This record gives sequence, C-alpha cells and structure tokens, in this order.
Amino acid sequence: MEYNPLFDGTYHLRPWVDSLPLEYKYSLGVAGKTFSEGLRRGKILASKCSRCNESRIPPSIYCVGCFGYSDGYVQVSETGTLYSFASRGDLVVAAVEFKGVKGLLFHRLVVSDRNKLEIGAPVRPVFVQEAIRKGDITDIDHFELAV
Amino acid sequence: MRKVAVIGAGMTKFRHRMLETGRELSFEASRAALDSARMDIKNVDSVVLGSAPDAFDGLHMKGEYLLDGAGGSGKPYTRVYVGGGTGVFIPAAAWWHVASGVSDVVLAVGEEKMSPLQPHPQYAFWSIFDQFLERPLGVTLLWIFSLEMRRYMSVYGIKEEDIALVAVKNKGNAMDHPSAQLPMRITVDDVMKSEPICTPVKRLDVSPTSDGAAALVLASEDVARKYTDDPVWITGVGWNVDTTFWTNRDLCYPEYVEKAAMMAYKMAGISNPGKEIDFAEVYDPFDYKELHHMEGLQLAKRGEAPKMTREGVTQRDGDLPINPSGGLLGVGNPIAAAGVMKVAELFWQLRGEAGRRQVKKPVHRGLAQAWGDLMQVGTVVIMER
Repeated sequence: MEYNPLFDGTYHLRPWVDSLPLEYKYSLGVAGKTFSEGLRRGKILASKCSRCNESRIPPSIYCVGCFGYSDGYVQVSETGTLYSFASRGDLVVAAVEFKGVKGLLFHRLVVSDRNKLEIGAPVRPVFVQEAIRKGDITDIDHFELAV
Repeated sequence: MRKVAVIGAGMTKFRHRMLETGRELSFEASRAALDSARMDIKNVDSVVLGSAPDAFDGLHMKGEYLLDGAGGSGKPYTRVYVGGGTGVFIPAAAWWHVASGVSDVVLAVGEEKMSPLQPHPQYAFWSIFDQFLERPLGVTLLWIFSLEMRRYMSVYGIKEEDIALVAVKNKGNAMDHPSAQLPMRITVDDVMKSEPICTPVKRLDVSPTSDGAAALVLASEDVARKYTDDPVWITGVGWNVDTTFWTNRDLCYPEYVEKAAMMAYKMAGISNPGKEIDFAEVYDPFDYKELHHMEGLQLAKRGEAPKMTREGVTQRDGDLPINPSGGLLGVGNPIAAAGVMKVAELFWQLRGEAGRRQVKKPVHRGLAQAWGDLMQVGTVVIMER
C-alpha cells in the first residue's frame, strides 16, 4: 500500500457551519391510527392474519408472512415478559414480549431495584391517566414488574 | 455468468475528522485503487459508489454529490445503500455489472464522512427510527445494541470479559494497519473499566465514528489477465434484508446474515464454511457483533464464537483468523468505506501483500461481511486466489 504523503490526517480544518430547519408532519397510517386509538383506550393492539394464524405488533395492514391483507386487530395480554433490557444512569429501557404475538414493544422500564431485573420477568404497561392520553406511544408512561 | 476479478485496491486513512471533503476522500481512494491496478479512469466502464445516511452530511443526493470524486462523471453510475451493510454490498453490486457482461471494468468506491453532523454523528440515527413508536422515547442505536448484546449474553451464558477479548484482538491487530484510527494494545480489564455508555455496552466495546474512503477495481477475466498475473476472484456474493422493525426478529441470532452467507456459499460451492473459509473479515462495529456474525456466517456454532475467541482460534496465527485488518474496532468505522476496507483486506491477504498483518497460515479463500440498516441486513463477499 502506498499513501499520499500529504495525507497525514493531522492538519486543521477550516470549518463552515450551517443548519437546515426541517420539520415533518407524518401520517400514522391505517394500522397506526388504529394502534393509536387503542393506546388512548389503554390497550395495546396487534394485527392478526388468520391464514398464517399469527398476530404481530406493531400492527400492520399486511401480513409480512403471506403478503396478504391482515384481517383485524386483537388486544395483547395485559402482562408481557422482559425480552432484554439496557440501562444508562437512572434510565432503564426494555424490549417486551407478549405471549402469542410476534414482535417486541420497546419502552422505558421503571423498577425499584435494578439488580433484581432478569430476562423473562413478567412486566406490564402503566398508562397515563385517561384524560391526558393523546394516542401517542407515551400514553404508556412506562412498564413495571408485574410481581 | 462471467468470472469477476479484483485487480486493485486503495484506501485513505480513517480518522475522526478529516480536512478532505467527501469528494476528495473518494478521489484519494479511487486514485490509489486505480494506481494499484495500473489503470486509469479512461479504462473504467462504470462506477458503483456506496455511502451511508445522507444525514451525516446534510446533503441530499449524496451519490450525485460524490460522483466526480469517485470518477463517475459521464459514466453509468450507481449509488447503492443498505446502511452499515453498504460497504460489502458495493463490490457485490460491482460484481453483477461485470458478471452480467454490462461492464468489463468497474470502479467500486465506499465513502463516508460522518464528522460534519453536530454535535455528534450519532444524531443522524434518530432519523432511522419509527416516528411514532420509537422516536418519542428518545431511542438511540446504542440502546438497542445494548438490548441485543444482553440478550446474546443471557441466552448463551456469555460473560462480558469474553466479549471484550474481541476488542483487545482487533485493536491490537490494527497496530499494523497504516490507515488505522484506533490501534491500541489494551487488556480485557481496560475494556471492562472503560466508561459505561449504555450498560452492558462500554466505550471500548464500540468502534469510533470516522471519515474515510476505500475503493476496488473489478474486471472481467480477459481484462484482468491483461493487467495482472495475480488476479483474485470474487466467487460468491450474497445479501439479505429483514424488516426495519428490529423488534420483530430474534436479537440473539442474525438470520439475515445466515441467509446472505448461504446465498454466497451456494454460489462459491462451499458446503462446510468453518473448514473451507481460511480467514474472514467479519463486521465488528461492536465487539459482540463479531461473535454474533461468526455464528450467523456458520463459522461458529451458536453461542460458541466466544469460546473460539478465548482459545485463540481467531487470532492472526490461529486456525480461523477473524479481522486480521483490525476491523472497525481498530481501523475505524467510516461506514460504507469500512466495508470496502474489509474486502480490500481480503485482496491484500490473498495476494500475500498484507505486510505485518499477513495471517500466518497460507490463505486461498476469504470472506468479508457487513451488517447494518436497522439491525436488518447482511452482505457477504467471498474471494479466492
């Protein structure tokens, strides 16, 4: 290998600073809107495909397995299990699994004693008060251990 | 399909922040690759360039922006993009240009300039998450990699210390790479005591953000034989992409990597990869990912890559050297350029031109792999001499 001797990677940059003010207004989509309405009612909804006999979150109008239309929504169980977790400072984040449902839900986890956390532990969502729900993922305030 | 050779490779240094623009980096790497192939841009029929998210540069149409630095002006030019998997996808895409007979000579360029984005390149990754389900929770890539690392450790009972051995090996290997950004002699203890970023991921488990470029020259058999007595052949390519919902797959085993590898193995006529691959450049943006990917590539049984690492099998003088270059952990991780660097390492190793990095045993067949997008893509190239 030969290198350009000018290329020592140590010289100083001459910077130019710029910023681009961009803002987006997204559509939640057909399945996303249903999921959002479910959150407002304190429910986590999965889509189901009766051909594949599968439910999945996040819900989708199509089945990833057979690529046909999904045929409805089902509520996931009230308690899930901890698939994995990670932490930084006071914050714990988790991926939660629900029985019989493909897909995990990512969210915050609040626990009194982090050392007790174990993969496979039962966890449940804690919703904010109904009056202040907006149909956002943050309508779930956090997950907690269901023991 | 026609046989396809690699006849030249070149790269810039990888650094956290370079004076050179992306175009200039692309030029430096392309020029070095052409010089190594003893070719000029007029010999090149088409150019395939890869670069990861436009958000690093704040430049939309980054492929077009980089075009003239990559020698693509006035030629059939394609930018390919599969996130972190891009670097190994570039030579795969260049391969099909030559194999199909569309082009005789293709310049394949990987460029990444991550440093412009303020205050840190990581912020670009906010834009890859789901707008509704994930962004409101402030999710970052490091969080989801931590979830994946913990799942992997938990299912197979793997210790953090075993994972740290990968960082020790790769940063050590990079001591012999002239382009390396983070060559280091460190111990497992150094990794364990490094700053926790998102537990269980620590500072020294992670590759750096980088600027850099790397390039290859691919040629048809008749052209290759005119320019070199020593062509290295691409005998297998494979790629596979899973859903963007990272939550909807097994975080413990990269099935998409297995599928990409199987596609490449089938093409190369390989039935027992653990025995038939002499060495590999496996994607290692995090130390646990090298282990994860060795398993997906069938170079290790599930959960056994840490044991092979502990036993020294993956060292340069081991039975199956992994990342003799120093990998992303040691050489650096300018995303698309890092993958091309891995394929360039196959080229240098197979030709016996890797200098102090040359693996001890004779090598005839190597594999390079990259991974990326939202933990969803595997890209594989197999080369033989």
